[in-house]
Amino acid sequence: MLLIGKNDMTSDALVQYLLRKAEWKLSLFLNEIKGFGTMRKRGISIIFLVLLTIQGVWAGNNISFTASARRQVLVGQQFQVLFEVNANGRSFTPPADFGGLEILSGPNTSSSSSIQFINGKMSQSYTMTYSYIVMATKPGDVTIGPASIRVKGRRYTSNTLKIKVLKDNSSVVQKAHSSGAVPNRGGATAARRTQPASSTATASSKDVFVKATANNTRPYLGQQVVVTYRIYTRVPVSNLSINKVASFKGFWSKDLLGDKSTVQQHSETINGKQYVVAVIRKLALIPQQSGKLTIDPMELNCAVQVRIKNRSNGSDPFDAFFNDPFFNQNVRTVQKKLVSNALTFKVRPLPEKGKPACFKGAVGNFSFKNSVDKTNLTANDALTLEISISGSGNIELTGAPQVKFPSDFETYDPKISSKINTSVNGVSGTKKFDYLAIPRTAGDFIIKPVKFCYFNPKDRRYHVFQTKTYHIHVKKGKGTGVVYAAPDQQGIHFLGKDIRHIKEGPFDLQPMSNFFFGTTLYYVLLALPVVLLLLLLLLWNLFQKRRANVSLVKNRKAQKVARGRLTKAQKMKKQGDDRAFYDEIAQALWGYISDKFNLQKANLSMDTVKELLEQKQVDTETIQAFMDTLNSIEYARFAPGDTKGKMENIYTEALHAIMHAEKSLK
Amino acid sequence: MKQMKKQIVLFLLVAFSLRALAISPDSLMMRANRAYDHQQYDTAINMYRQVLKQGLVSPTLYFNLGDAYFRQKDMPSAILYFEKAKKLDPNNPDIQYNLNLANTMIPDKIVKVPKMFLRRWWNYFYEMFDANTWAVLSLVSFALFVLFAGIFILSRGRRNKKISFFAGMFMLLVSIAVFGLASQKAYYMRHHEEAIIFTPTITAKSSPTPNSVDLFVLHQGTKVRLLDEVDGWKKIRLQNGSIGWLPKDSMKEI
Repeated sequence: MLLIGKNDMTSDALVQYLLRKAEWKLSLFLNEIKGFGTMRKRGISIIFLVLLTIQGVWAGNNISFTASARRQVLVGQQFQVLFEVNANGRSFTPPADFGGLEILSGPNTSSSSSIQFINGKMSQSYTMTYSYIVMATKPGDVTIGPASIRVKGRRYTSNTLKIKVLKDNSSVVQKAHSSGAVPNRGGATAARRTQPASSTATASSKDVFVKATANNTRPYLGQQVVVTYRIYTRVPVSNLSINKVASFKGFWSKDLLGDKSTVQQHSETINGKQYVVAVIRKLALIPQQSGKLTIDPMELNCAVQVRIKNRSNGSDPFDAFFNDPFFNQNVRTVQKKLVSNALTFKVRPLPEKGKPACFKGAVGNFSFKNSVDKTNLTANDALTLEISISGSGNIELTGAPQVKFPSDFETYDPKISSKINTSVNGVSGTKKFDYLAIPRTAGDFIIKPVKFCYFNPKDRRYHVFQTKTYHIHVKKGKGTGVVYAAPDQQGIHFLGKDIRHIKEGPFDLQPMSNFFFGTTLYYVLLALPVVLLLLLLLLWNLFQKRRANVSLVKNRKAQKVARGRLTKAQKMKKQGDDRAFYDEIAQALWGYISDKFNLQKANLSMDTVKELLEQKQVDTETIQAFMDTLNSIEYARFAPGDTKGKMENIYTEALHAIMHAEKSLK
Repeated sequence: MKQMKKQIVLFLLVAFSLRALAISPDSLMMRANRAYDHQQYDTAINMYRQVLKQGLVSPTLYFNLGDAYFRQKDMPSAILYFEKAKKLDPNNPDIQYNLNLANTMIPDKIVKVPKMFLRRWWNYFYEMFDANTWAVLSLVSFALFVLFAGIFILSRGRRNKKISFFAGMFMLLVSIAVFGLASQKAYYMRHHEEAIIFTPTITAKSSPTPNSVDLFVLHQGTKVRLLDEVDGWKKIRLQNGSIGWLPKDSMKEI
């Protein structure tokens, strides 16, 4: 019979892994071969059995849908419940009731097909398996209800399962049994048994326990701590599975063991008893916050082999090996839950004193290297600044140091390559930062020193590394034209923003409340123009008044003055001074008008006199007489002859004209 | 203006003679500036404050003090003194620049409500000169008005009367406006109408009692306008128009 099987069971991988890792697997293996011991590789063996079962059923081309599980389990023990169908089924409906069993995983689907040749006749089989991993929580009888599945339109229901859950420390009789008929084919044993135990024996917590230790419980923030979980045992232990992983809240964690499957095993004597000690887990933890941090305990399940036969205790592991069930039948396997101790850390904050500005959280012991690949180059050539930080500590968490290239350099984000080693002593390694920069213009440039700061918890001080100041000489590119390819103008690059600098003198300091507005002076100055204007108007008025008075007097005295002039003219006539006579007469007439109308004599003419008189509504006869008199005077002045009679006439004429005018102007 | 300058000079001379024994404020300012240059901002602040204690102020003094506080990363104080400097010298671009920069470094960002155009124009003129210049301008414009009025009264010809009438009317309007600006500015200078919040975080209340409704949270460095005061509480208005009450001791007046 040839069996080509494909099986992708998603069974408890961790269990398998740990099994592979543990060195006790030798004894286990022997157990397996012998067919004794508890159902360790139960998944595989059950599948094997099931395949055989189905093979038998499928030969008759019947469709069967069966449920299978152990008949008896312990409280806290994990086991599988399988639903298998020998055809491609659809719409699997899980049982409505698992009878109070806790479902840890499932349903996990797997399928397997097989081709078999029996006496040259080929037949194919196909199996679909829906598996659950469940755990019993309390003792008693448990019934798992039927599940159903649809195959080619028909619905099939599985059988119900009855499982007996036994107390943890009671003796176990395990039996793998599928409810269907198990054909005994190919020499495979369908049922396994451990011998019924008559005596009671348990593995005490002194015989096997898990202990968590830390190399430092008072680390600084960011200082790595190595936490180790060790199992101490005096009895053979197998099937170790982690039930509950410790939670590392507030820590950044890194597994130090990784995939390295070498398990260090050594013996240790505690209180006079010898234990085999093996490291289960080893982690580097880096606290991310200060204060009190607690790691919850880790829980493990394991199968402990307990010897029933009373023997001398304190046997060494080799002794235990040779007392393996292979050689000694008086061994029983008991499921045991192991709980590690919780760890409490008091994380100290980093000291504020002397904390440099460049500090960005690197804690540990580091060394620092830096180099520039060239300091003489032509424009548009690339330049690489390499900074590497190596040492132990939280190196993975250190960021790239800030490099300030001259602003004419085209810069790129640094290429970061890290080589992290995880050893038993913690995390260490090298982190390399490659900064690529391309100078775009020629000239002499300076790359300012780059600082890297870290805190060393050993000497409790901050350390600062600094690169050199690199002087970069950039030559002009050789006339390839590439350099001048882009003559596009660029705006000024602003590198930073800062306040304007303080001002120097003159400081122009003034008393605090030196405000002009609202002071008495202000109001005085405000009122001043008004006062001045009023004063001016007053003066103007006075002046006007005085001028008016003068003209009034003149007006009144006009006739008098004129008569006075005429009298004077008479005197001139008697003296024989003709010229003076005529002058006086003309003066008398012109002066009269000038005084009457308050006008300058120079502004007067014959026409204006006539106009003025007409304005005053003097009758035309009087005006004519006045004008005639003036005319005759002018005539007589320049045409002398027969003077005596003429002069007498003119005199009376002038006298009459003034008298008439005076009468009309009153 | 000249007269005022003379008066100031006289005042300063008196002030100096009175303080002949103390260090002269100008040399104190120089020393403070040197301390600032040597990054001894604490010393510089102390010295600037000594000048202030002598009752002397100037935009430069406030500006330098604001710079020193800025360097100390004390943004509320820096903003306070930049604002004080701006109050004395509204059109100095350096003061405005530093104030803007300091305002970007405080937690609160308050969006100003745009004002009506008339208000904006008024403010534009208002910001143009300091209080004393406005006072002098109001005197000048009023004197011009009176001059034109005089010309109008005394002139004979129709043309002259017409021109002087319109010129006088125009100057009357101008002088009223300038007088308004000058009085507003003088009031602003004499009274504390604005303040800077100094408490790191404070909740504005709906009324001047501690157990009234919380309205909004303000942080240090924010400028508020003071509207009213009721026993230990100030009614404030933000630049976005929100109104609330804050304890008096949470702020410093500009």
